Amino acid sequence: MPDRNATPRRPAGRARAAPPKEGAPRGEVGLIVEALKAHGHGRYDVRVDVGALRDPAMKEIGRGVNAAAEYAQASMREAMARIQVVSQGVDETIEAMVKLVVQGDLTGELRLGVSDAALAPLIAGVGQVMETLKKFVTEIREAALQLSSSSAEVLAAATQNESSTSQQASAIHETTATMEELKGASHQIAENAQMVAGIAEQTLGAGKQGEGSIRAFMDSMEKVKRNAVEVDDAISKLSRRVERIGTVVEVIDEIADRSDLLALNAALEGAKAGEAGRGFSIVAAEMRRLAENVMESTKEIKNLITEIREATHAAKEAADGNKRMAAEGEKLGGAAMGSVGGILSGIQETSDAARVIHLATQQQRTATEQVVQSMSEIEEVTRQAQAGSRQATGAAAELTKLAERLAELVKRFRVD
Amino acid sequence: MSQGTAEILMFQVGARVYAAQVDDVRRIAPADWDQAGAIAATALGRPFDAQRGIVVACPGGDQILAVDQVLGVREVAEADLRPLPPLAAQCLASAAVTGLAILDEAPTPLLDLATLIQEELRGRAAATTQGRHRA
Repeated sequence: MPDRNATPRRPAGRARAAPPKEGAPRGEVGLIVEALKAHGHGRYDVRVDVGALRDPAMKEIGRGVNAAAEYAQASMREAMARIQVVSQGVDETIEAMVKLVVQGDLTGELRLGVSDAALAPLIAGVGQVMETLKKFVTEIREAALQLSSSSAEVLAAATQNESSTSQQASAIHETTATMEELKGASHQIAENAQMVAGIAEQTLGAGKQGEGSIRAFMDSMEKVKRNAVEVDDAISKLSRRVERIGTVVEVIDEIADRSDLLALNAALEGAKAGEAGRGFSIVAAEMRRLAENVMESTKEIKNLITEIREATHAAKEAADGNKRMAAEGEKLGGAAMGSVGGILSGIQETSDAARVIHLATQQQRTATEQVVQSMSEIEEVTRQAQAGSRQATGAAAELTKLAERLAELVKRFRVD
Repeated sequence: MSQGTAEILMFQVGARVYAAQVDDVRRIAPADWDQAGAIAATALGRPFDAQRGIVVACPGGDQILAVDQVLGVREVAEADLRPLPPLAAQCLASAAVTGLAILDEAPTPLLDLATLIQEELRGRAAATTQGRHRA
């Protein structure tokens, strides 16, 4: 097909072949050659001036050249008309496709007024494009819906993640603070445990001294018990001696009483005898005075014996009490010894436990410091994660908006 | 006995001290006499612990008067032995108190022991009789 741009550039009307140029064939041949050259340049309106030819053969060639030019010119006109029709069909097809696309209605088919067979491939291709587009839109719509749903889920998850990360950051912060306190407490516990160990050591020493004191106390109790038994024996002997003294004093008192009675009767008889009995009376009076002295003395002795009896009774009771107290003291000492043994054992265990606690607490302190360090790092990472979560949440929100926007856009295309 | 003096026996019944002529007393009995035959309660009252007994010659035989203590024989001036004033004699129910012995400027009842015992014995006999009559 000739170039559409190769349409006649000259106004309608027939042109004559220009006179031959210098050096070109001259004469009638030159006229024909010039016409053919013009035809070679697409100027089919140039004709050979047959009238100017005298040679019949040249005339016939001129007429043949002109007929060929006429035919070519007619074919060109026909081709131009067809080109115009096809161009119009293409424009109509594109316009229809654009219209469908702009309106978003992909449900129908292209209905064109052109029926040129040359446009059939184009129309078929456009229909195929529309089908493909419809398929794409359908898939994009489904994808947009899925994207919208997924982005909503992503947004919810990101929001949840952000909230969780915030809670986690808060929890980590609190945990870090708690670990700091725990570190301080561990330090305090370690110091206290060390102090307890020191006190336990001192107490252990004091307890051992106490054990020795209790042992000495028990020895003393044993001695007290022996002494109390000896005192009891001595008191019993003393009591028996006192009883014997009392018996002797009773005898003496009886004798003194008899003597007093005898002296009384002697004095009585002396008095009855009158002057003759005066000496007798004097002796009787002296006897009586002696008897009375003896009785006074025995009375004092009896009082003393009574006091001694009371004292020995009290001493015996005290000795018995001492024996009982000594026995109880021995029992208590034994119990105290057992208790002190238990206490010493307990103190030893306490001391050992305090040392273990001290060491364990030091290890705990070291571990706590490491945990604090780790928690600080975790806190930093969590802070970064929190920032990332915020960004993710923002991105998810943006994605959700975009998905919604995409869904809205895709909704504009009707495919069903 | 010297001129103007007298010997009296001092004894105690309860809290009070009495005096008696030594001639009225036969002897002093020990505390372990036959308590059943002794006269414990008289017009002088009942002794606390009756450590001594005074043996008195009575018309029916010797009687023992239980006393708390016999303080001894004491020589007193006869001037210090004074008869009981009539008013006092009339006021007393017992006739055994015959006078007062002034000892250390304090009056001590002077007793007739035989009368004292007779009054007690008579009283007992009268009580026994009254008891029989009542029975």
